[in-house]
Amino acid sequence: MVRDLLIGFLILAIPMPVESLYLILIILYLWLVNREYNRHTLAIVIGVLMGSLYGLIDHCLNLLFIGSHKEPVVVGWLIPIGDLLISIIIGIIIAKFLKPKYQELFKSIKNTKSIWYGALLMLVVYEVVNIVADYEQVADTYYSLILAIDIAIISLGGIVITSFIHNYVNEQQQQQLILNYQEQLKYAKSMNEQFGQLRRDRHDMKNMLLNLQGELIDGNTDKANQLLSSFIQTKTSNHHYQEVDQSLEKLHISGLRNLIQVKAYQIIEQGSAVSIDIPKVINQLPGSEVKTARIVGILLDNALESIKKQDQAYVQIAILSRSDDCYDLVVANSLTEEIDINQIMQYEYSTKPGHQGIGLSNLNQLINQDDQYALIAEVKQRSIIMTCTIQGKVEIDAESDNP
Amino acid sequence: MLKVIILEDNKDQAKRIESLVNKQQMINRTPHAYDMEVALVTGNPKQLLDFLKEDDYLAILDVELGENQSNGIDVAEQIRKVASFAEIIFISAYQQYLPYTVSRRVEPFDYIDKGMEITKLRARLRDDIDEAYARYQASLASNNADKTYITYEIGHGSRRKIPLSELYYIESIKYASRRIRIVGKNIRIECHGELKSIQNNNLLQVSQSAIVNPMTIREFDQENRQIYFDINHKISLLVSYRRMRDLIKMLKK
Repeated sequence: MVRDLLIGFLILAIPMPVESLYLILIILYLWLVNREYNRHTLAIVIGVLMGSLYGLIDHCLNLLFIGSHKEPVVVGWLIPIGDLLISIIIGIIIAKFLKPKYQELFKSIKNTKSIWYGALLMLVVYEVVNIVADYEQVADTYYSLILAIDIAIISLGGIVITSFIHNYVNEQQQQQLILNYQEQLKYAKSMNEQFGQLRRDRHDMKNMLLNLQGELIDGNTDKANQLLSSFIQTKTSNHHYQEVDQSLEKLHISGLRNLIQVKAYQIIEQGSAVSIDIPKVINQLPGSEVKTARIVGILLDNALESIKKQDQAYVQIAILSRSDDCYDLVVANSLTEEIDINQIMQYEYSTKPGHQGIGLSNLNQLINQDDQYALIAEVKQRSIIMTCTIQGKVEIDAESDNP
Repeated sequence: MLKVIILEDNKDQAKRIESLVNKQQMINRTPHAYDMEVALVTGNPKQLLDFLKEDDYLAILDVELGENQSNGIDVAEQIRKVASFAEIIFISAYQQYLPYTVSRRVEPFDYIDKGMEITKLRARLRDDIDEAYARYQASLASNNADKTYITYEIGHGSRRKIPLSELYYIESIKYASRRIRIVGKNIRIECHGELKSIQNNNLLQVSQSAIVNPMTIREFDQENRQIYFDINHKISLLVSYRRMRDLIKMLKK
């Protein structure tokens, strides 16, 4: 800034046939030191504006004080003081109020070169008028006319530049709207397809279950088992893991026992350790058996996924009785890296490529739909512990502060 | 004072452990005697559970006790619930119990194999006592506010607590009647409850459906009325207009 100021003084010290040429020199200098179109456009606009303002102030001061004074030299200092004051005022206005808005505006416009050409044109017209007026020495006589022409040039230039910017920004916004709309159409199409697939799968499942029901009614449990295995694509393992089977002996809920057994076998076959802790005999759990099975299924699937790439991983499963009607279902697994528990519980979060990650957020929905269920998810230094607490019916109070 | 409790049904073994603890109390790697004493030696888990209070303990527990008795892990679980500070060392001949300790949230300090050579076992136990005492000292030296807990009810009569220093906020869950979500640094709980039942002077209500722990607020974006609890701005909460002033006043304090 200091350098620019010094060069400016230097330029003003050069004797010129007409004063208006100084502005051209300054604008040229600014272009040589910094070839940024948006900054130079601003410099041109300010230069033209300030040139006009200086002319106006000088003319007024001359008319009011200097011209009519007996010794104009004595009051001649009013002109530079007036120019300085107006420079300070305009400088403060630009720096404080206009600069941030201007910078933000130019960030959104890519093609600032066109605006720069417009500003240059405005400068040229302005300069021609003023150079001719200075050269013919008619500036004082026809000052009002020249001022009117200057105002007209500035206004016209301002209008052209503003409307260009306005149209450009509008066009950009419309393009963005079109893009957004196209994305939404794509998304809606994909949702439709998925919904259609879901309806087909549900239809198939219903038919398969009817088939299964028939086999069970006739007592063909082996055939029913085969049908189920082929549908859910798991083989009922011929190899039994005694420690798993023994640990599950106290769980007398067949469906849940089978689910945990299958998942535990998968964990072992994956090369990881599993422990199952069921200290007391459990004949029944509070809540819905189907819901409980879904919850346990989600927890174990997540544990399986989490330990896939670990060496020496482990999973611990526990069903602990807090009281006659309150149980904790705990699934804990080892971790080798830090995780953010709040992030993994978000909808559609997944570490699996190509997966939408709805398992744990489904879990939240299942839990929150029913007052008998609660979920605690904790991350310790090297493990994650998911606890689902199931309790008997909860008494409902009359008042509630939940919106 | 750190109270040492020993649960071991083999009397000779129990005496040896007690003697080792007493010696380590007097002669250890620091120039001073430890501020600890053997408070209870028993082979009866029920006696130990009756003895427990909200106090500071170093528990040395055998896992496998007599038939028809709770095992050391059950006892450890209860110690974790009652004690204000607890370091737990398991001594057992049976390594298969180790896996249960995570799911039961027992978090033992060490799990020593009884079958180990006696000199190695003693050396290991001495090291564990030194380390446990150092942790106890560190716990005493830490800020008192860190020991404040928020208690919540997870089920009928089943209360749990989390340290206030790890709590971010508690909110009522939208579209779910009488359900709250407790969000913390490494914990997230969704359970039955109501905001009004959680009373604590350290918490501030920032909207009709949320109360926050101001000590864990990382950033407050006043313009957008957003509170952020982490660097990446993934954990955030919206503040209501009405509560802005109270929050700003609290944060300035």
